[in-house]
Amino acid sequence: MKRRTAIISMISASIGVTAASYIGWNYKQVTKEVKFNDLSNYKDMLADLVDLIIPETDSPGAKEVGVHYYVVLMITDAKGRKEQNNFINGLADFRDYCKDNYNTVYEKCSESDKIKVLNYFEEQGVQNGIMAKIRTKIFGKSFFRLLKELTIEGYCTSEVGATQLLAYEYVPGRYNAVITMNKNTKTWATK
Amino acid sequence: MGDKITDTKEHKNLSYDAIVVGSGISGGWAAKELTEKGLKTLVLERGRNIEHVKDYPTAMKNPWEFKYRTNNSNAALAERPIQSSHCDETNKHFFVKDTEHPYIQEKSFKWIRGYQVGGRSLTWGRQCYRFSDLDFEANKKDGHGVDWPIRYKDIAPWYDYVEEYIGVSGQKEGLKQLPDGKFLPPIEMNCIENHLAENVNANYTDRKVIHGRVANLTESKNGRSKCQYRNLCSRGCPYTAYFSSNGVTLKDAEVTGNMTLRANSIVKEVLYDAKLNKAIGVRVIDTITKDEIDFYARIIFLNASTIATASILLNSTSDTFPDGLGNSSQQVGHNLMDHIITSGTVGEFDGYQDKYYSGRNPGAIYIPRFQNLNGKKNKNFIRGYGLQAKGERKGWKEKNIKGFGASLKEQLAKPGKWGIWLGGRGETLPDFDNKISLNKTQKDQWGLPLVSVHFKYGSNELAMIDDMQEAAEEMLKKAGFINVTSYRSNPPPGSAVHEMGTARMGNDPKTSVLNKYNQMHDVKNVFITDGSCMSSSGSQNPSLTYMALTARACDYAVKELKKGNI
Ligand SMILES: Cc1cc2nc3c(=O)[nH]c(=O)nc-3n(C[C@H](O)[C@H](O)[C@H](O)COP(=O)(O)OP(=O)(O)OC[C@H]3O[C@@H](n4cnc5c(N)ncnc54)[C@H](O)[C@@H]3O)c2cc1C
Ligand code: SF4
Repeated sequence: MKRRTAIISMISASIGVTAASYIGWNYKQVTKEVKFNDLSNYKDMLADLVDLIIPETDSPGAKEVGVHYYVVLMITDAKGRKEQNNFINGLADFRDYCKDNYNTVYEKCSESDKIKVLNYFEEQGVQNGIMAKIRTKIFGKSFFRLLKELTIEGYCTSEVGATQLLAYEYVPGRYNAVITMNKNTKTWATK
Repeated sequence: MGDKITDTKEHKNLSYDAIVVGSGISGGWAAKELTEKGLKTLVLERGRNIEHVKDYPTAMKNPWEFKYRTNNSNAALAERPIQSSHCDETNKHFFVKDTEHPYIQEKSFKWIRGYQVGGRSLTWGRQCYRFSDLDFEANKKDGHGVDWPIRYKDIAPWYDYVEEYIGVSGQKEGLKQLPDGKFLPPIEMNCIENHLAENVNANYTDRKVIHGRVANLTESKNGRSKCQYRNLCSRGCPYTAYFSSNGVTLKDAEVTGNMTLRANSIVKEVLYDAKLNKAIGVRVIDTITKDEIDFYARIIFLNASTIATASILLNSTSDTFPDGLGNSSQQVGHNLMDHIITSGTVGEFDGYQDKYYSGRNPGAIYIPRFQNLNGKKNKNFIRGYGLQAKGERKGWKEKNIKGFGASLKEQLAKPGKWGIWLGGRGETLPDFDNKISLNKTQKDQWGLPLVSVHFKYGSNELAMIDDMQEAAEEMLKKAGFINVTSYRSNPPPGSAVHEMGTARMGNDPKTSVLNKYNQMHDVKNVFITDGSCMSSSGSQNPSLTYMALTARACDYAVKELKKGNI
C-alpha cells in the first residue's frame, strides 16, 4: 500500500516529464489479471465494512440487506479491470493498514479504530482538482470510493433502502411540480 | 380500392396495395395512414415482434428487481459497446446488439438503433418541436445544401393533424422560430425550472425558457390513459401514455383489418421494373428461415430510418440504376446530418430549501434557438441551436457526502441542493462529404454489405458548441446559480440520434432524391418519409417533422394512386 501511494505521488510530482514510465509500471499493476478468488477471503470483512458505512438505525443496516453481496457482484461483473484490481488490492491494503497501525487483524480492531481506519482511507481518497481527475482517468476509481459508492447504491436501490430510508412511489399517478416540504420529507429513491 | 389488387394469380399472398418498410416512428405512421385509406398494406420489419404491453418485460419492475440495479454489466457492455451509452439494464433489449449488427465507422459515429416492431418509437425522448420557415428557408438563404421544396404553410396542417393524434403537451408561446402547435396542458415546471425561466426571461430580450413539448399525455385521450409520472418511458408504457408505434399507430392500423405486419423480415432491396419505370416490390430475407421472398405492391414507403433506408437504395442496383435505386442525382447516402450536442452545463442553487416535487417528470424544459434571429448575426457561425434543460434536487446518487454511519444515512435521506442541467442541440449543415456507403467486401451475417459511415463536424458546428457552453454558463450565472461547470467531453456524432439527410428532398432531380411530396424523382411509386428526406437539420428534435411529412405524403400517394398517376 505504501509503495503504491508513493508511486502515485511521484507521478503527481513529475507528471509530464517522466511520468510515462511510472504510469507504465503502475498501469501494469492495475491492468493485470484480476484475482477474483481473493474476494472470497474478504467476505466477512466486507459485510462488516458495508455495515459500518450504513449501520442499522431506525431502518436496517447494509449487512442485513445483503449489500456486501451487491458490492462483490458489481466488482466482479460490472467494473473494468483497473477498478477490479483497485478494489481487491485495496482490501489487502486495508487489512495491512490495520495490522501496521493497530497491531491486530481488522476483525479484532475496536469499532472506533475501524472508523478511524475508514476515515483514513476516505481522506486518502479525497480527490480534487485536475491531478485527481487525471489519476481517476488513468487508474480508475479508488478502492474506497468504489466501496462507498457501491454500498450507497446497493442500499438505496434495495427494497429496504428505497422504502424505509428513502421515499419510493411505485406509480405516482400525478406530478406536483412544487410542493412544500415538512421535516419528515425524504429524498425520492428514484427520479 | 383494396382487396382486388392483391389477388393476381402469380402473386397470391405476396401482393399488396402498399408496402411499408420499417415499423418505427415514421413507418407506423405510414401504416396507419395507408390502411385507414383502405390500402391493403404489408408492413415489413427486420426485428422481432414487440406486442404492446405484453412485450415490455421491465416496465413494471422496481429497482431492486434488476440484478445490476439498472446498471450495464460488463457482459452487457461487451454486447453493446456502442449502444450502451444510450441504454442500461432496464431497456437494453430495445437496442441492437452491436456484436450482431456491425457497421464501419470511418470516423467515430454512433449509430443508435432499435431493431424491433416499433423501432425507436419505444425508446425515444418524445420531444416534439415544429420546424419554422427559418429552417425551411435556411438552405436557400445561405446556400448550404439545396432549397427545401416546401415551406411552413405546406406542412403546418399536417403538424396539427399529427399533434392532435399523438398528443403533445406544451404551451403556446408565439415564437416565430418555434411555431405553436395543438397542445395538451404542459407539464408544470418545478421550482428551480421556474426560477431559471423567470431569470432568463428577465435578463434577456432575445430568449425564453419554455415548457418542453413532449408526446406524453397530460390528459387521457382516445382510450389512452394519462401519464402516471413514473419517468420509465423507455421501457415501454403499459398505460399507452406516451406515443409509440406499438401502442398507437400500429394499433389503429391493425383495427382497419388492412394491415399485414411481418416481423423478422429484412428488406434487402427494392425490385425495379425498367419497362414500367416503377418499383414492383421488395426482396426480403426472413431472419428465421433465411429464405428470400419477394413481395409486390403498387406503392412502396421506405421508413427503415435514415441510414438503413439509404443502404437499401444503394443495394437496389439495376441496369437503369447501377448506383442504387433513384440515385441519378448521386445524392443517395450523402448529406448525412445529426445535431451536434454538448454533454451539458450544470449549476447548483442555494435556496428553495423547503420546496420539492412529487411524482417523476418524464419531460424537460427548453430554450428555443435565439442565435442569428431577427436580423442579429452571430460572428462565429450561421444557423443555431436550442438548449434542453432539467432541474431537480440532488438525490442520494449525486450527493457527495463525507463520512459514514448514522450521519451518512441521515444525509442520504435528505433532499440535497437544487441543481440544473442544460444541454445544447445544434444544427448541422448538409455536407456532401458526410455520407454512408456500402462496403463491397465486408458482409453481415445475412450476406448484406456492411454500412460504412463517414462523418465529420465542420467548423460551423464546432463554433456552435463553444457558444452553447458559454451561453449556458452565462445564463446560469446570471440567474444566481453557483458551481457552474460544463462537461468537456464532446459526444461523437450520432449521439443526438437525430441522423437524417441521406435521400434529401429538393426541387431539382439533378441535386435531390425526393420531390416536395417525398416521392422519388426517378421512381414515382416510391416514397421516403423517414429522416433521410430532410434537406436541412434545424436544431429541433426532428421526429415530429418525419411524422407530419409521412402523413402528408400518404395523402398525396393515395390520391395519385386513385388518379392512376402511379
Ligand atoms: C434515446 C433516444 C432518444 C430520442 N429522443 C428523441 C426526441 O426526444 N425527439 C425526437 O424527435 N427524436 C428522438 N429520438 C430519435 C427518434 O427515435 C428517431 O428520430 C425516430 O425513431 C426515427 O423514426 P424512423 O421511423 O425513421 O426510424 P425508427 O424509429 O428507428 O424505425 C426504423 C425501423 O425500421 C426497421 N428497419 C431497419 N432496416 C430495415 C430493413 N432493411 N428492413 C426492414 N426493416 C428495417 C428497424 O428495425 C426499425 O424498427 C431519440 C432516439 C433515441 C434512441
Ligand atoms: S412516465 Fe408516463 S408515459 Fe412514461 S412510462 Fe410512465 S406512465 Fe407511461
